[in-house]
Amino acid sequence: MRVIVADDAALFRVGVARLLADAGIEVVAEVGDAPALLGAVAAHRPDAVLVDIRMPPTHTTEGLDAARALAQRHPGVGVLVLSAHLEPHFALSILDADSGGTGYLLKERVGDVDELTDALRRVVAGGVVVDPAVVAQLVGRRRVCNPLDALSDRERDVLAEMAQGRSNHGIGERLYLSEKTVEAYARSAFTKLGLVAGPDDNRRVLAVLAYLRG
Amino acid sequence: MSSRRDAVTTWATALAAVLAGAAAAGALVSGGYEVPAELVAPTLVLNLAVGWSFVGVGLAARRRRPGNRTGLLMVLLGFAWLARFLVAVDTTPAFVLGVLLGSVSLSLFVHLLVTFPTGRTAGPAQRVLVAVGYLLSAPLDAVFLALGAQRGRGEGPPPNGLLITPSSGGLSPEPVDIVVQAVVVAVFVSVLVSIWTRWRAAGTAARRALTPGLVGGTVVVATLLVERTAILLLLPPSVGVVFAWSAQVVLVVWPIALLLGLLRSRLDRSGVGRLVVELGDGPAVPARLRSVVARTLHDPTADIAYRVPGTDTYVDAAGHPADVTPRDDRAVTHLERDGERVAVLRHDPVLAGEPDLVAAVAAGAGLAVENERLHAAVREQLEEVRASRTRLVEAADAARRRVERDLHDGAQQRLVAVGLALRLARARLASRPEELDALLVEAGEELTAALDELRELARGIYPALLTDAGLGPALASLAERAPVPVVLEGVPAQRRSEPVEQTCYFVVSEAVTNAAKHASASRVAVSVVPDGGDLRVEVADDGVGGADAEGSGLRGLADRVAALGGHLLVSSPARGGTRVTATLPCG
Repeated sequence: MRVIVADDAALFRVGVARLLADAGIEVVAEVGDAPALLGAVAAHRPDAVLVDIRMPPTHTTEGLDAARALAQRHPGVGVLVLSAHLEPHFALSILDADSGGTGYLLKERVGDVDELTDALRRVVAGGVVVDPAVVAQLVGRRRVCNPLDALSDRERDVLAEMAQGRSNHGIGERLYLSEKTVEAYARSAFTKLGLVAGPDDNRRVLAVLAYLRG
Repeated sequence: MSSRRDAVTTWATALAAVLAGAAAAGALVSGGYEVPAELVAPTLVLNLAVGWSFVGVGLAARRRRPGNRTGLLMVLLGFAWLARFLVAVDTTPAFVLGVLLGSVSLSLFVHLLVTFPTGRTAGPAQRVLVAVGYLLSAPLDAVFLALGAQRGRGEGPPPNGLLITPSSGGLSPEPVDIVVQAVVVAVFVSVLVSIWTRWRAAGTAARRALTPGLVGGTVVVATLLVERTAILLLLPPSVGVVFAWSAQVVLVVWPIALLLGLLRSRLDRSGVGRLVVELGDGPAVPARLRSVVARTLHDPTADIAYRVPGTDTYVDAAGHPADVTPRDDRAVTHLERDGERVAVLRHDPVLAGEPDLVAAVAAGAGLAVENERLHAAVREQLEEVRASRTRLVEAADAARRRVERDLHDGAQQRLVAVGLALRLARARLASRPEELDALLVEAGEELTAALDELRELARGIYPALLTDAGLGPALASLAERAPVPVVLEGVPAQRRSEPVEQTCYFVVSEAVTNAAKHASASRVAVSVVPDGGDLRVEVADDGVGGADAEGSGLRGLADRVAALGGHLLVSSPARGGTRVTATLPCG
């Protein structure tokens, strides 16, 4: 797998590159800002990019803008945005039904190389990745009449994994359940919440996230 | 339009007076009587001077005081005076008319003097006096004309009544003449008594208006009295002649005295300029304002009562409640600023006759009162600004202390633990490698926790989402992580200025925190909706209520909101939930 890392902190770029190299992932370019990233993607045609949300010049949300630009210009390239903000709003702002291969992870996840490579593989495969902490915040939200109370613990766990962008197969691996069992929990949870499963995994993720946000 | 019509009337009257004077002169010179040459000039000069003087001053008075009858009476008196010249025309109708009109001027004089300065009778005594004055003129003269014819005095040319000559000696007055003269004298004495009592009763301000006219009038009456009583007092006829001339001279001067009285209010008004200058000279302390106003109005009883803002009660300079209803002995003039009553001027009712002066003084005093009120308002605002500035500084310091404590107790401790774990790991590297894994896992967990804490701390200091995405997403995020259920009932779709969005966010944040921490609320409703040009932020919970609006949290919010020119309302009845409403101008 060929990856480009975009972050204005050189030390971080070097660290991540070494970490990924150890995991057998090749970093083909390291850049410090969004325009350089777009240029490097056009030049190197990577499988995925890791992009920090805050970059020069304003250090606000340049990474999100770059992710949207890449989804338009290079739809085949997986984009993983690394963010210091635990904000569902930011995560959802780069996800839509047609932009498969996009993810939003808290920056500290780079400390767990397995989690990082898993996320990279999923976006390269055209899937959606949402940081577990972001999902946890949505699931754990206090509600006046909480419909999630109607779910069993297992159903809730499956729903949370689903919201992170995992397929039934992926959820089964994470929760040590058979794919069939996961499917049963998922169907039951959807029925209890009045959700309609979309035609593909990404739409299912968006439906769950939209439900949790509402 | 009406002022133009007034001007036309004035000039037409003046022209009529000039023509009447010319006619009178013509009548005297070529009316058919032989007039001693040395008497023509003084007679003409004096009589025309009296007639024109009254008409002129009367017109001036009418223009300055349209509502005052004095001017009209003076104009009539002037014409009546000139009408006496009819007797100089040597025909019977002219003589009869001349005699009948001859003493109407005296009746008008009595009328004028008794009712001065308003020109209107007040009370039955004045009305009787004025009526008797009129009865003694034309009606009595008519009787005399008839009697004269009976007495056989009508033979030969009648005497020219205009010329002041010693009456033919040896003619003893008949009883009826004496009675009539006695009544005339009684009327004049009554007039003098009436003048004296009115002057005695008048206040300082009224006396200023009365004095010039009354002194002049008194002199005329006194002179006439002596002239009239010359017959009774059996003074030599030459003395009567002197007094008759004197009476005419004084009559010329009297309207000028009245004019002086009229001009006096104009002079008084120039004192208003001085009042404004004097008041501008130093602080307008109420006591000083009162004395300056009293001096300018020449009314020592004048004073000022101040309206208590927002109420209909008034207090005097000392702060005691003041009665501001008008009474017989006290008039009230309101001092207004921008259509709002700020104070009242209490003064002698006679000054109501000087509305321009009172209005000018009221305006001058109003300036001073307004000035004082503005000063007080600015002082009050300055106090509030000082206090809120102090509170803002204190709040900022407290926030810094909180961040310092959070960093020190949280992330910093964890990082120390991580450092310790790494050093331990290094020490185990050679001796006990089997413990390495656990130590590194522990260090990793500590680091994750430190990062979580730092992230939440950073977010608590300032939510990046607010600047990057706006109020709506920031409030949604706030609702998601709040420890109580928060329902967003309305958030603005469009962006607002940064200070407005920030203040709005912190109002909601603080109110939601309070609802979770202190109110034991089970639901918090948040709405941020446009309200005219404002943004209205409302946070209502269903908790225990009884929130302290003066507590540091809400007080700080009120300061933040006030800094943007908005205001914060906290309603928190015990067991009734808490509702925090902020209105923020978004100009």
